[in-house]
Amino acid sequence: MTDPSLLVLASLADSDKHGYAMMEDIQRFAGVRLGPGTLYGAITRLEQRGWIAPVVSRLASEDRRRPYRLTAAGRRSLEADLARLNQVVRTGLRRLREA
Amino acid sequence: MKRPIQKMTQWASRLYPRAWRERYGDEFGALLEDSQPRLRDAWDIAKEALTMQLRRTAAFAGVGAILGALVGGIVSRHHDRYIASAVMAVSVQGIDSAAANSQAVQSLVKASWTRDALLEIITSLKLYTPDRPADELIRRMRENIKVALFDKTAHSFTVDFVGENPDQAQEVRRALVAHLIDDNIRIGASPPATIQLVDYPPVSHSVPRPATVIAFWTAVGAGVGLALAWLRRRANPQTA
Repeated sequence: MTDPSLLVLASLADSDKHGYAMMEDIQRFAGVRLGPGTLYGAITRLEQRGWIAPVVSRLASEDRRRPYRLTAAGRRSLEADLARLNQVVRTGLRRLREA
Repeated sequence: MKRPIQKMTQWASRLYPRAWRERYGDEFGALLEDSQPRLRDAWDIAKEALTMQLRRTAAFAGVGAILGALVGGIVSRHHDRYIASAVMAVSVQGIDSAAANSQAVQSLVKASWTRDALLEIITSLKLYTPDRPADELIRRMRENIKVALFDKTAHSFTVDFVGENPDQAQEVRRALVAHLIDDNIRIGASPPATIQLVDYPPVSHSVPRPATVIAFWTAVGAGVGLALAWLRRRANPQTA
């Protein structure tokens, strides 16, 4: 599972995060280090689709790090993708056992 | 003092479209400061930035190419043309020179394909749109007729007519040739010249062919798209 968009959505599933926090989190849970260009390419696409949104806070003007949150549409998309992946994983494991 | 890799990543960051840099530049800079970028990150940034730039330009070029192809399709349908040719021989009695033969053909063409003669062909064969002025129809017909000397000694020449369909082109070719042969006898030039029909080659599709026309207009459309993308950037740097 190395699709950057899916990794970003999964990273934001439990809490809002800024870019560097996402990069660290993704490396921890997926073992994949997304390059800065790849990460922000995914962030740009996801924001354009309305699946993530910047968190508006009073401190935003003081800190250059901008946190992002998962939107309701993003959550639905992530759930659908994970369900599909889950189906693939279960099928693959079952077939490996039967082989 | 900045490390060389930091300089490289900063340079690569400048490759992003300006609108993107204005929206994400600050937070992206913060990420680069936090993440201790590696050499491959500079490549990762440059690759993503160039992809973003190309995607915008390619979108303009793509839309332009599609519109161009549509225009090409319409143009090729309206400009589908066929060439009907006749190969003819000419000889001037007592003189065997290219200049004399050429002169004989030019004089005959001028005397034979007069305004009235062409108008008669236009009317009888129902060429072009009949409600246009006669002068316009004749001018158009003259544009569709081509006479060319065939070899160095000018013993033969070709008469080409470009028509909208093969049957029509053949009919007009026959009429033009008949006029030339009949009028040569009727007028009786001095010195006398002999004009003969040698061959009617098969009717050919006019150049450019529809595929060439469509390809040309597709390329024009893509070019216009690229130019518009460039002009848009110049006019509104926010989108660059």
